[in-house]
Amino acid sequence: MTMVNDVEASIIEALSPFRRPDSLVTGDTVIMTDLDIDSVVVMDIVMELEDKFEVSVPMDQMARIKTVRELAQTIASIRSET
Amino acid sequence: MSLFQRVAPLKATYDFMRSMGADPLRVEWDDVLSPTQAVKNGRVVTLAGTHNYLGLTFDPQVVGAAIDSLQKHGAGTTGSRIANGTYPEHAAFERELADFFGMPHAMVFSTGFLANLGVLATVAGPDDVLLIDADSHASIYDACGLSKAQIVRFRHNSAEDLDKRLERLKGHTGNKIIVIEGIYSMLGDRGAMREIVAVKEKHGAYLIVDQAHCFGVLGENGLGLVEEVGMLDKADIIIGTFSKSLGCVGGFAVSNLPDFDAMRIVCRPYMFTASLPPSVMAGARAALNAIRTRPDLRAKLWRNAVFLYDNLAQAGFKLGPEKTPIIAVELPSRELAIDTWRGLFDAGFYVNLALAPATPGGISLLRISVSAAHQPEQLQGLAEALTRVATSNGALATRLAAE
Ligand SMILES: Cc1ncc(COP(=O)(O)O)c(C=O)c1O
Repeated sequence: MTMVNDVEASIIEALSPFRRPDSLVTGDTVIMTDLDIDSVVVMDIVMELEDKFEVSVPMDQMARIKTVRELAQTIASIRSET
Repeated sequence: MSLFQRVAPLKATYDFMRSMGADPLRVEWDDVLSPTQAVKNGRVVTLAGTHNYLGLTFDPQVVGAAIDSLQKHGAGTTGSRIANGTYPEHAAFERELADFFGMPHAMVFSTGFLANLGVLATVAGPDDVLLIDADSHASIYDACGLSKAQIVRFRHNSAEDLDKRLERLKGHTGNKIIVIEGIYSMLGDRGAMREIVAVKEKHGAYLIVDQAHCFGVLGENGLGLVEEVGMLDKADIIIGTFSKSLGCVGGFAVSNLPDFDAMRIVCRPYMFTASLPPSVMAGARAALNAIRTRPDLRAKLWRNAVFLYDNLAQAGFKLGPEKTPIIAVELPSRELAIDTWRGLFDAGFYVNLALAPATPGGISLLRISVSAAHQPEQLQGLAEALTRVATSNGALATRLAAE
């Protein structure tokens, strides 16, 4: 599980600049609605994460991901498959 | 929840523009006079944001051919070609376009948007991967939504990044289909076709090039980026539009792929929407002829583009990386971009405003598109007005101070 935690920490770090005042980014944060962020910036951040963890997260799969934890689990699971 | 709740952030940006007295997305002309002039509130406005690259919208041959066909064959086709048949105008255009590219297949769509939807969603099946440039046009993104393929986005114009992503797909057995554009519409930069073709060949992938902004604009004969870089045979499918250099409306795809004609019986955005009116096809055909026989139009377009780019660079504006007919002017903030757009419009010049999330990296842009029909005085006037407005609202000073 350390992989998921690792990925989650990286996602939280990348998304922190977009948090609303007086709130924190956590595993339960819903990316598109709990943050002040647009979908293109999310795609760009995912690209950074893809490079960091050497995976490709297909955009069609991204569309189903809501929370930070789901994204972390997806990246970790793609990574373990390769 | 309201049906429009999800789009609230976009609406907020739009409301913000309006609160600043600018409504760039809903300009209503009182009249349109020529490829470069329209009327607003009784005043003539110079059009420099309409992608009318060769100025053919009012060309007597284009308009004349459309009128003849309108009288001869009526106002509309009332349906698609699979249901209502192909008019002589459709067939003639497709023949001439295929001949122009020296390829066996050409197919017309009702718009360029539909050409992208149709081609990408048809050729990329559930087992395939579509690899698209991060700065792709909305129609390419939407085609990905329609396709059942896996979608991978690569860094803008980076063959290296594309290579890395294809490398990660090594074990994947389906087709890999790369999509790039000839000239990207936000910053006006060319697609890195040579480098991307090398990566395509290394990985045995396919390549589709959307030439919406470069057909009639780049290349010795106006065949676009594929011709300019001498790689006409390296693109598996080329997409284009009638709505820019051809001055009409419509879209097309041309290809060397032997089975390409299968598209006509499986591609839903071709099969299930009405075909273009014969008058539009006749106009586009005359415009295609103008591209083939009047290289002076292209020469004039480039003279104009270089003239305006140099003028604006001289004035100190931060511009897109390449001198092309799309000139992107980067402004320091969303507020200053909106204010500059409004000041320019008040001064009688129409350009496009582009803000996040539509822009790469969320920057704020004014996008100018140059036409062969522009007179040097119009472009000089635009450069002067932009400099004046951006000086008085501080946009230019902010930029110079930041250097
Ligand atoms: C790159 C690109 N592809 C496709 C299109 C769509 O073309 P059309 O206007 O024919 O729908 C555009 C038009 O804006 C474009 O910029």
